[in-house]
Amino acid sequence: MQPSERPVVLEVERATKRFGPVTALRDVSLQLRQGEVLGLIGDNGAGKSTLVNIICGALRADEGRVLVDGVERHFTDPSEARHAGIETVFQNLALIPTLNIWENIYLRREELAPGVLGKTLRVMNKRAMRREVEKGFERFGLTLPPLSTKVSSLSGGQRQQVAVTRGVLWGSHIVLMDEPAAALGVMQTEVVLALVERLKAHGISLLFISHNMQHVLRVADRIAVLFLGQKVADFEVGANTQATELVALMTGAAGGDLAAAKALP
Amino acid sequence: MSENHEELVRASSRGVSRKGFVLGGAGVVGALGLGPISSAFAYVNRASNTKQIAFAQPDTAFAGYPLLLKGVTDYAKSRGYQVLESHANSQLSAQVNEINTWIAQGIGGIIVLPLDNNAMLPLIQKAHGAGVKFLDYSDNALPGVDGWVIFNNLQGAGLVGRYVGNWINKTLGGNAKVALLTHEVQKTGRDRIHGGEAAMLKVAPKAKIVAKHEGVLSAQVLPVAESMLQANPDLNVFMCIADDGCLGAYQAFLQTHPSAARQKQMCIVGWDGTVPVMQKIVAGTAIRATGVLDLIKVGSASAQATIDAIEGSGATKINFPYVVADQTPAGIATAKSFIRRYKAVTH
Amino acid sequence: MPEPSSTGRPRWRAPRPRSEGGARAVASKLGAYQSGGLLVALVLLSVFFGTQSAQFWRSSNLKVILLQVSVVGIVAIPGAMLVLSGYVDLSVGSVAVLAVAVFGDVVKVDHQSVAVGIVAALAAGTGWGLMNGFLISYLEFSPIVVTLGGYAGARGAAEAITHDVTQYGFGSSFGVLGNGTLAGLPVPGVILIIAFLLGAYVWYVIPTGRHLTAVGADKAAARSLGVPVRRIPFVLYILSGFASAAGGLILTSQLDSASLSIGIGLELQVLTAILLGGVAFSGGRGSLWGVLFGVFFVGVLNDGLILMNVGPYYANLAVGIVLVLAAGSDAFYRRLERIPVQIDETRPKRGAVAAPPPTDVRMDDAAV
Repeated sequence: MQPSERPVVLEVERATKRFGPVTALRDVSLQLRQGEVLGLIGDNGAGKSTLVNIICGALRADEGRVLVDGVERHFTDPSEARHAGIETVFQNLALIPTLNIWENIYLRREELAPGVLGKTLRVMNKRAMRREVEKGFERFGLTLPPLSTKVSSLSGGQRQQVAVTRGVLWGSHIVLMDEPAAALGVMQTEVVLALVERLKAHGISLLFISHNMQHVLRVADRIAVLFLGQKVADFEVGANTQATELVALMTGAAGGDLAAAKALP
Repeated sequence: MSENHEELVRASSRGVSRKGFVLGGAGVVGALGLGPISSAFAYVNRASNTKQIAFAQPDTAFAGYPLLLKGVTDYAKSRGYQVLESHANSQLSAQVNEINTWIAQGIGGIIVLPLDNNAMLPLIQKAHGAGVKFLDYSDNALPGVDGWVIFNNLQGAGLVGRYVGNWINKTLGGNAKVALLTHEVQKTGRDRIHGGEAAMLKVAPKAKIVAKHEGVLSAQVLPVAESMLQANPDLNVFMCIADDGCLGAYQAFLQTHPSAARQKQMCIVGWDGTVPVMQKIVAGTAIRATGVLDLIKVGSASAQATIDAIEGSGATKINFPYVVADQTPAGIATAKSFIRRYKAVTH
Repeated sequence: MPEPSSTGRPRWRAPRPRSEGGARAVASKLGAYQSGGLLVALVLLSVFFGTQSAQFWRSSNLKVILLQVSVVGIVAIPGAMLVLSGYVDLSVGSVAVLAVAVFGDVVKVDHQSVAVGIVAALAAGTGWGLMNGFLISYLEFSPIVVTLGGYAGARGAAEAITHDVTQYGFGSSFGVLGNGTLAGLPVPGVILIIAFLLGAYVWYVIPTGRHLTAVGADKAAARSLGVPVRRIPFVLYILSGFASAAGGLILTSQLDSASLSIGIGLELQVLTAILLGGVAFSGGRGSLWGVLFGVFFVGVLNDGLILMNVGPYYANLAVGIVLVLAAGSDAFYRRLERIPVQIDETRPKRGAVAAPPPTDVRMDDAAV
């Protein structure tokens, strides 16, 4: 199936969001197709995280719509977004420092014990949760400190790995990744990018936000560029796509022509 | 007694006013509101103001306040005086405001239960400057006052202590184990317990103090008394600094499921003269004596001292005596009479 | 690998893994077992009092201790959940006395039955908790300011209702609540045990306990993850109000009087037990077992000192010292928690050549 023929799993239609006098997003639309990696880039303050927060249910747009699998959704709560199949790796990680690794991964979707214990009494199945996380790490070839380590003991890089792993382990349909490799070293970044490829191969659709042009160019099938709250470019990544062009678009130095040239027909 | 009760509770509440922000705010507004209005009238009727006295007992929600007020107003009326009440609701700033207002109005005299002794000193000077008599009503005579009504704590302590000593001799043949519930930070507390202990030992020298701990109000005394009874299961006497504490000690005693014989060997005593305690004395329970301050008479005495100070003759310095309500025939009659008189006023 | 400079000392010094790992393990255990440390202190204290007083270990004395700590314990359970979530309730003592005042008024002035009085009292406490919860969770007023206002306001309301008159004499059936026994234990003690079991169930067994921790540790992160950050404190404040009212009724039953002296200092006693027990005041971390030990520690301390006929000032002093120790332990734990974790397998052995990385990519912490 041609990339452009794949179904649109996530669509944002003319989203606008204001914070008091500041308009963080103005009339932003984009489409994410099945099994595609859409890179979202923009300078600080361009509105990327705001857009992510709207899609994942942490914020409500003032105007505009969000459609998941073609159905318009109004999320009041991040849990609703998760039930719709949207996993998020937050820029600020959203990890609870006093809980340990597996507790963080399972927070708000704790596995309950089988039978009556679980159903009526809602007893947590701690052993099963821990085992599942262990298996998940093995499957993805990750090594982290003992799972019972509290997140506050982990370094910044290790925490980011936990946050990425959480998104990857639960991701079954759509995964939003907001700067997932920002604190990581070279080797770990490779792992994250490899994970992105792997997820794509499994038919999962990703929205990938990063400052790093090389990373974006490597994994993204399409790129959307935000500048001061508006989308200024949206195009398929080709062999000729240059990092310098992207930077120009991001910083607004590109001017109208280049943006127009890069826009979707 | 009232100011002792007030001070005791204040001390227990660790400095937070009992009346709280809700009522205190209202009190300040009340004092400020009434002040200017009555000042206006005062300037019109200045001559008749000298026939007014102010009863500055600021704890107007206290259960015994109606008793005090009855004593004050009845007596004042009998001598042709009008009584002004406090609206300070135990807030010091409100008390200072209303005293200033009364001084400005040039009334005859003020008798004050001070919320803070030091805050009163400049007010005394001011009152004298305006020709207003200033008396106080607490356990200390402030310097420069025109008179006072002070409770004769040592006398009251002696009354109760002697009763306990006699009871020990009669019931237990002179040997007894005694527990004291103290309140050492306050003079009334110290006077009552030390005086009571001394008077008891004079009559029953073989009595032994086996336990001593802080405790004033019933909720505080309950756990203390429970532990004391564990340490000394054959305890004979609880001497409590206030009647409220007696009730706590009594309940702790009942929790040990004492037999009738055991109950006969327990004697719980206190001071103040509250109705529930006096009722238990009359009913023949283990609470056997209290040193009563006749609140109605305290009121009259306050009015009397103030009026005498204004008119320049008579008794202005009153050491108000306690009366004992206990389980002797005379004591029971005393208790019954108080219960009757108090209930007539407060229902 | 760092190159030695001309002075022979390496220009760059790697963090020393082994000792920090060891210290971290100790701190981790300490923190996890601060409650355990308190248990040890409790046992030692009890042993000490046993040597000082022949009456300490008698079953009647132990039951008295249970009786004395029950109300504080019952109120401390929702209280500890609030602190874990990053909130606090300073109004508990005053809400207790408000419920007491309502009870006395309804039964003695309105001449309703004791059952009606109990319902009214519990409703008053729960209602005040609901107000606290609404103002704090939904309007986002400061918990300390709101509950401090309740500390004064609820007591003021109690005084207004009663006009300072103490109602008393509620009958022997009501007396069972405070003075009765069930299976050999005092009824308030049984209530405490039930409340603790329910609390432990919420804290340790079901997911809600983790959610409380999440809200207390990082409310924004918890919100992003879909934890109901408004509903949780709202419900907890309602429970705290209910528990305060229940505690007030228990004390009323014990005193057989709706005394206004009830609840004075309760919030301090509850908070002391919570903090002693190792629930961090900033929230996000703590042990409910520790709170229970804290409750009993203070109870044993007070009872023991009275048995020894030592003055009350020593009890306050002792509690103060233990609180400072608990604070120190908490700070020590947090400090050592910040030392990063090393991964054993990838730490290169001194002098060995690093092995080539396996085909499966691994996280190498040394690069971070």
